Amino acid sequence: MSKFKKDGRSGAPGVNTSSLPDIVFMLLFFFMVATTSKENDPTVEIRKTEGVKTTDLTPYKQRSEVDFIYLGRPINKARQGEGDDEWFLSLDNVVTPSKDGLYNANHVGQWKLAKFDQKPARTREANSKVATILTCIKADKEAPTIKIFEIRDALKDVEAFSVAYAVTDNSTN
Amino acid sequence: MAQRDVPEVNAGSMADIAFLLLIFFLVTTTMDKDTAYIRQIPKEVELPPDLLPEVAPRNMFRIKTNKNDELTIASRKVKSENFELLDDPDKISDSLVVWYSANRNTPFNAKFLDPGQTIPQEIQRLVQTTEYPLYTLWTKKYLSKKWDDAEIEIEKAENVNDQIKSKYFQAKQKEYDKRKKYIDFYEKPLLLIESQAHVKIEVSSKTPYSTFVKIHSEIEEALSVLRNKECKNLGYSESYDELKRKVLIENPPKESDLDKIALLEYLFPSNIVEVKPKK
Repeated sequence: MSKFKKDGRSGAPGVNTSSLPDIVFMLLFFFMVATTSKENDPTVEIRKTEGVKTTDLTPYKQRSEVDFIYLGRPINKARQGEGDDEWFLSLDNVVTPSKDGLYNANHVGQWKLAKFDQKPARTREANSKVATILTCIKADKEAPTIKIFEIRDALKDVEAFSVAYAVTDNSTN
Repeated sequence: MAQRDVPEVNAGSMADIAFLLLIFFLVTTTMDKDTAYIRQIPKEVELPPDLLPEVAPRNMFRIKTNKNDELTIASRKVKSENFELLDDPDKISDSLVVWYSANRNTPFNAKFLDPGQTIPQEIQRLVQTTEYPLYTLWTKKYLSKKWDDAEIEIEKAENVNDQIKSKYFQAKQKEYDKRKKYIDFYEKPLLLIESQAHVKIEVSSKTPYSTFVKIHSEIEEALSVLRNKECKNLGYSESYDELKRKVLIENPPKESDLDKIALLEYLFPSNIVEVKPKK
């Protein structure tokens, strides 16, 4: 006769799942860290443009070597103008704040220099001048090119010579 | 009344719920990559007035918008200000590839590297009649000759205290030194397009951004085709596009890959002139 009595119930013991939430959290944190977020919320409407063989700006973003300018019609209906006043720039609020964060090309120069002062010390040392820091122009697909050239002229005045025209990549491979 | 025990809530399914949420967000989130065309705003440089180059029509690939903001390219058959409207703007890149590579197989100085030799007739004819930019074969011998020429010019300029000219030729010497390095890496003479050759973009002030970007897209496509083709000729295992993607992912990228990309971009430079439209 057996000394150890079976108590009748049998079956596999339950798997300990108490560490599952930890794993899930770890994943969640990974994605939170790996995702780069938009620098600022533009106050103008941007409809995207497509092109092929583009350059990925992720490495520039990781080194914080890129500033974004948004060019489009204001989202706020009350600020929508006619003709020449139709198109506005949306910059981060570093220059004299304006209502709605809307600016024109005259503000670009001081904005670019102020942005450079705000950069992490590491970036400032690697790029002793503002010249090598990219300025990415995200423009609405209908925005007139004269506005782009006005921005370019303003950037040239502060010796920021690198620009990037934002475009969504639709290359097939 | 007897106190009843409050039963414990089973939290075992909590993880499942969290997982479900996580996976849902993973699937539905599209991480918007920022992609763009990077361009340099030209700096103003002082050039010696007698060396201000006049750009030959063959050295310009002109892309222009017409009244209806359609894209046109300068006709190569007629030398005047004639622009052809393309039935399909996607064909700009094809014309650009032709423009880039038409004279690549007949470099015009290959046969007269030694001083004193005259330019052969067939080459002279090519220079006069071609509608496409010319290519020059840069051997080490030719480079050192050019370097010495520049040295003489610098001395001449220094004697009359012409700082602008002296600087101009010093910049040239620097460029020649760079080419020497590329020859070492390439292991054969460099075939280079005329330095004046460029793509000229002329848009009107009202041209929409999408059209402007389309032009840049076509230029990049043409350059990518040319560079990919050169990769094959050089016997690289990866194409230019693949190399670009590789250096983006690898951290740090391989030195040899970066050198390959630099070489390809030097062989097929993207010289783009964007003309500011009049108001």
